[in-house]
Amino acid sequence: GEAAPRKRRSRWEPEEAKVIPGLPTAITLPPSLAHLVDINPETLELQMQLNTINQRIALLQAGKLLDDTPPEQRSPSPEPIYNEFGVRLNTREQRIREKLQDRRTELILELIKKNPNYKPPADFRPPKKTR
Amino acid sequence: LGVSVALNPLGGALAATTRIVVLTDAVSAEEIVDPQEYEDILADMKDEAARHGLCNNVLIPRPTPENPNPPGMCKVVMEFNDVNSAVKARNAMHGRKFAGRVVNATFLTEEAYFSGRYDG
Repeated sequence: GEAAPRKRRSRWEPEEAKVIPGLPTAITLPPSLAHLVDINPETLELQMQLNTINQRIALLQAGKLLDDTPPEQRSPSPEPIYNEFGVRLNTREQRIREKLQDRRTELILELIKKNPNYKPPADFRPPKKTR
Repeated sequence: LGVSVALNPLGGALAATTRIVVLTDAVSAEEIVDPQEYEDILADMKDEAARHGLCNNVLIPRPTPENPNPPGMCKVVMEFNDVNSAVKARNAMHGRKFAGRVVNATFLTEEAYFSGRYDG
């Protein structure tokens, strides 16, 4: 006859082992914190782009933003604009800063639109509509 | 080819999901050269796989006198009937302990599986 199948203990760790008794398995954040956790891939991507822009703005302010485009490949500079004291207003830095700020504003507006819980940075001012 | 890509919440792509799940760090060479242990481990793997869906085959490549280091040596290769079952099984097994070792579970392309390239 055939031997009765012996009771064998699986070498797999019991799945229950991961659950700590007395602790809820799912943690629900209070609404005051919920806005800090964003798992929407679309807005996370926007947030990551925003972080990059913020970094570049910080680098620019520290005078460390490098542009490694060789001079011969750069597009021609625009005509200089001077203020009443003869100080140039549209320097390279100024133009880069404007571009970064515009992109930053765009990203923040997009985040506000896509995530109702999003809190714009304290220094953010919605752009004035130009018509 | 029937390959889909699982996205993690950060938007990056994980390994493409397939019907084939491969466990590494689950078994050691000393264990699987022992015929009784090999049978026990194979049974453990088949039982566990069956909990997540229809599993067509489980392979645990083990050394033989002719081939002491076969492809996929010390890995556990599970062929599921469909990608859903494979994903369920992979997620349940990855990071779980088997015989005290933390198992790593990934996917293998069907192409590699059917041509016997169990190391990917």
